[in-house]
Amino acid sequence: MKTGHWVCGLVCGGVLGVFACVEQPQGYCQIAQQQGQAHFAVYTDITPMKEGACAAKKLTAERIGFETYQLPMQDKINIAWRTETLQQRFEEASKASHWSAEEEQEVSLTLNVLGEYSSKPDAENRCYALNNGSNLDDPLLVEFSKTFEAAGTLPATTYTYGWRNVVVYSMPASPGQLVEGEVTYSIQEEGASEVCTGKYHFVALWPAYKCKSDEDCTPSVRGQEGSPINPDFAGFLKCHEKGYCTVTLPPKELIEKLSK
Amino acid sequence: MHQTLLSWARWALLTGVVVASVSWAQSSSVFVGTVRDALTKEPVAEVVVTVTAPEKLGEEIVVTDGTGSYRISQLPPGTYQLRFEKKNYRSFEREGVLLDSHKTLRVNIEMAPLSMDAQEEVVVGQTPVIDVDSAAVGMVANEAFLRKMPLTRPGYGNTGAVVFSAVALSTPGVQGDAYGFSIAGTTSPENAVFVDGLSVSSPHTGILGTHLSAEFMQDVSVITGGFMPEYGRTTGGIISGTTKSGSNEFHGSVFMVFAPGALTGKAKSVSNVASQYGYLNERQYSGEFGFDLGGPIVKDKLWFYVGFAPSMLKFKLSTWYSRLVDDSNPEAPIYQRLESSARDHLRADNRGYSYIAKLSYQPASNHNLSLEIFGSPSEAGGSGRWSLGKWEQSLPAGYIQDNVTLGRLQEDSRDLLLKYAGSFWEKRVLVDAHLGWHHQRNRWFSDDGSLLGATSGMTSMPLTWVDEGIEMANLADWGYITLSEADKALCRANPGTCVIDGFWFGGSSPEDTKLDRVSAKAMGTLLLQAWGHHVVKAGVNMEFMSMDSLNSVAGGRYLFGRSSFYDDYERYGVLLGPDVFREDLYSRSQPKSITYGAFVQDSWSIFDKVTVNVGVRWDQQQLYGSDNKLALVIGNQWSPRAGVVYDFMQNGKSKIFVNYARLYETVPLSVIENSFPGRRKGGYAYVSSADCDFANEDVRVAFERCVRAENRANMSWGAPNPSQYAFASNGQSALVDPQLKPQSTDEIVAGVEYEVFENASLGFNYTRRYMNHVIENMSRDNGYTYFIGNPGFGIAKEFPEATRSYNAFTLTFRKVFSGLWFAQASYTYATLKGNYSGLFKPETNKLSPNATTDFDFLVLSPNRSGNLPLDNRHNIQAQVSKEFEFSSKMSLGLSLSYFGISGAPTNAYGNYKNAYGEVFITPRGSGKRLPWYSTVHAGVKFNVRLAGGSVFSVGGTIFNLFNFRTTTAVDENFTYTDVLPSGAKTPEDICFREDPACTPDNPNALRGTDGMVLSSSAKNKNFGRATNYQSPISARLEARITF
Repeated sequence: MKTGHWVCGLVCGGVLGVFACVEQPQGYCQIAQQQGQAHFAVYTDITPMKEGACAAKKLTAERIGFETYQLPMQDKINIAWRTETLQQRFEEASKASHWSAEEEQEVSLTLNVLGEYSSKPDAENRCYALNNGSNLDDPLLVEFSKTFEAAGTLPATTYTYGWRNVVVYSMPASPGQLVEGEVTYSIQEEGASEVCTGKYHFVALWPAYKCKSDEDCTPSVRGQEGSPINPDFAGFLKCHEKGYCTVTLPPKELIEKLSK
Repeated sequence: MHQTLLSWARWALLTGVVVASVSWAQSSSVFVGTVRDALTKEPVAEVVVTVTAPEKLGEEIVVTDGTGSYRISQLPPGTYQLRFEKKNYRSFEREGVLLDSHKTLRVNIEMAPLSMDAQEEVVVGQTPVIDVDSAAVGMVANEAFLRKMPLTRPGYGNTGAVVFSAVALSTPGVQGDAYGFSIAGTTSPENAVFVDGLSVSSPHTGILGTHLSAEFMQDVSVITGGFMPEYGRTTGGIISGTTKSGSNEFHGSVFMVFAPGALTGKAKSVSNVASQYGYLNERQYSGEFGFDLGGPIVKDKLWFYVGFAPSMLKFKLSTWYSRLVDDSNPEAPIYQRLESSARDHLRADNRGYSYIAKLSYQPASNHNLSLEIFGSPSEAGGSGRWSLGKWEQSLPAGYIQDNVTLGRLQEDSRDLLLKYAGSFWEKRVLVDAHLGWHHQRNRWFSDDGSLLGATSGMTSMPLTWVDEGIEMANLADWGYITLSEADKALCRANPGTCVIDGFWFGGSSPEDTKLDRVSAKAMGTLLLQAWGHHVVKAGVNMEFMSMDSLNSVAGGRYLFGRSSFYDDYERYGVLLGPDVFREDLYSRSQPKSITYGAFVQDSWSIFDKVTVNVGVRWDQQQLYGSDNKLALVIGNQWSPRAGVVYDFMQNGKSKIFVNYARLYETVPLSVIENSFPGRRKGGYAYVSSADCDFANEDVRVAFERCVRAENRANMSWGAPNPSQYAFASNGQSALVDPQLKPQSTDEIVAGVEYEVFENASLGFNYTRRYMNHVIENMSRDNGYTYFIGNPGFGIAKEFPEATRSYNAFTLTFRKVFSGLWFAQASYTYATLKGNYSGLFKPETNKLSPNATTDFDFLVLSPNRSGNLPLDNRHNIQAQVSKEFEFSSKMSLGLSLSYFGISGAPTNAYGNYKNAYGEVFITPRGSGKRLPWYSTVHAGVKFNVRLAGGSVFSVGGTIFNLFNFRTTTAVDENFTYTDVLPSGAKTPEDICFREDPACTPDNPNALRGTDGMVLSSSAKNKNFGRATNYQSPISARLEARITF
């Protein structure tokens, strides 16, 4: 029980001159999530993969599923996510390996990146994914890496994602529907002599919604059935070549429009 | 800025900042008037005006001022004697002046000087019936009304008692809804309900919490519009009961009302042609008996009043299954009742009692204190019985599945109230204050009494819904239903003819909810003279609400199945990490709220010709989540109020009035309970046709085999979710629109009232109400994420604005009890249109204030605007009572009342994703209206005056005298398939795939969510058929001794 609470209680309860306490509370950091659904991330090169054999392995776009965990009555929030590339490799491996149901459930867990999540958004509605126990003073420097070794009868391939600067925009008008950050991605196939590595900036939009044309991305408005994308993003959506909708403006600019 | 609420409340209570509050319900009535010289017609100053009444402790004395005016405030309602005295004038007395609560009566008189010829006629004021200072509309039921008129039919509101709030049903334009009374087109949880000024509604949902017997009431007033600022925090109406008090004489009564089942007509049974079940609920008895007593402890100083009244209500329930004999006509399949499946041994009941104990103390002549405690605890159901909770639960409407639905419900309510009323400076300053506590505790126990977390018994049996056809013979073999061997053989020989669509297995889920409200109010009244008379009132008030609820799921599981695919994610628990789900035995929620406000108002009687009422009220509510953190601020509720009342006859017998008021909602705690943070639920889904075949194998045998880890279904369908198997609502707190506006409605009332003959008035008024902003939970991404905002505004701007437009014209006639008769009649024509009904959705009766399903999905907004369910249009009421005196010792009282209301509109619903019945296939209210509902009650009472002033009366009332059996509800589910809203104007216009013209672009086509036209087999066969009928004729006997 902090003194501040008492003071505000006094001021508010005193009936007179109470207008100081009328702001809506900000709320916890959120990220849009639901089983069977995911964000759709589009990658742009920062440091491209080398020409040649590596060029075909570059990241262009994929779905990413985020999930948060908050214990009752606690401020601390944990976060996890996984990418579609790893999910697909896992499903192929599963089919090829004839794992038992329990084995499959165990291997599935190794695909996730785990970290901490900020509890309250900053002044620009940003929340950060943080490494457990990392220095929170500069959340943008936090780095995650995830290595998955596909096994079984498939060629053993090592995939590594190194995540950095993961920012989630969380505000009532858009509760964690836009995520951006950087990732260093490397892939090494069994027997291949070189590791293919590239660095990307990514922008992810919730929910991943399938489209054939830009019109398909138009959100639902009063009774007109459209996409389930936030209607505030209308006009800034297009259909990505991978068949999902994405935004045409940087998330920061979109969020700034919403804040006005 | 977060405040820790508990610390604040503790601080407030410890330091006594919770000042006292106003008793504006109890001593709220006023006499005003002017005294003139009968000869000169000049005002007479310094006339001593004395008022006395049996209900009043002691007498009140004031002196007229220089303008000949007087005002006597803080009077309890009652029958008064007024006495005017001045030197050199003849004293003047007026007896039997009936003063209702919340009323200001003008008694103007002319006094004859002693010099005046005694033969000369002196014109004096008659007893007025019109409140010339107020634009409030509604009614006051005084004690005579409460004792002479039947307020409700037996068993109304699921209790044997006649609850005080039922007076609302006799108020012009008011009608019953699923949880109480709809006033001016609003829903019952929006009403503010008071007993002696203390709010007795549930902090959780806003519905009535203390169901006190009308027997303890001095009077009950219902204000349906025209509010002054002193009334706040309601967007509905105000129902305010004033309890009796002790006086210097001992008074009391012993009473009994009883409606036996033998004097009840046969109820109509309901059959569902689509579900193969039938049921019949018959009332066995309903009654209330008890006593009350009031009198002095120390004469002129200390008085007491006590009352106690147990009540009971019991129904006999019958259910049966039928066998399909012929389905050649899909619109009207033929069924044959399976006699061996019929059961009539089950009962539903409610048993409770009302009590009150009150001490009144007058330490000095101008100061009154009272302390009272009252409550209405009850228990419903029990072993082998269906529990009929007050309002929140209804009689079964289907086959009773004992294991899940039977149990015991305890509903406790108690209230404690300390009040002060005093006057200072020659009664020019009045002070009213109160400090009160309202408490409720509702507990649900399983049929066998096993408690939360038990390892054996009903609460340990996992809840399982099997949503597929189950052969009745199988259910009979497993012991869930009864069926003779012959019927089993008949069913097995004809597979598919004895199939039940779905069935609940498992035990019942205990719940325990505690609710508290501490309220404090203080009001000062100042009487001033400046260009007429002013009554200036100012007040402050504060209210602290809290809730502590434990919810559980039987056996900790909630398996919900669709053809060998079983979801189990409605159980309580929390996702700790990817695919790590921790199940919790129960879910606990502890929301809180603090509201504080202030008002100031002036009722200015300009030279006693026109009264101008102006004022403003300000309130703010802060709601806190279970984590004690500020969740929601309902801030800056500025409510301007203004009105003018003009007595065009200038004699207290007429008025023309207009009033404007803005009214704000008090947000009940339920929206916080489920969203700050969200209830944590989750679990797994299981897929195995062999292990989870509950249609062919008893759950008790197959359950554990089904829910093994290896049967867990991957719920991600290829999406890269960190949890592929465990599913959970992650318990995130809802986000709130930073620009959230409080929920409010504006009201304009205008009317005219005229005293047509002594004690009788005729009135006409118009009421208009419309919503400004509404608070709702919404999703902008089709249900993935939710937030709280105002539909149509702020971040919810894409949503249609929430609208509810009420326009009503009411014609009233009222003749108060005098000359041995009473009459009251009204006709209201009202329209109610929009897309928002209020704090619950009458279409589904789901009680979830500020979180209804009306704005959940943007795609479902077509067709949602139209005639709202409470748009009944015509409402007629008439009540007459007449006393025939045979001798000074014997009399006979007759009463007759009529209530008629035109039929409500109906709808055609469909499903959308998991939102059952949420699609309006055709525009809201476009279905056929229900038929007119009419009922006539007739009562007779024989009274004998006994020695010592006691009266014994015996008699009874026949309810629904003509045994009308109107359909009161029909099945409005057009289809159970997922569909989109259509362009059809009415349900009759809808077309299906079988019709070649019914292409996907035909606006009348019934289309699935994929846009394809559905076949006629998707239509619910039971659509449009009756699901409920009017209660049959019944009689209630009554006996009473008053002394």
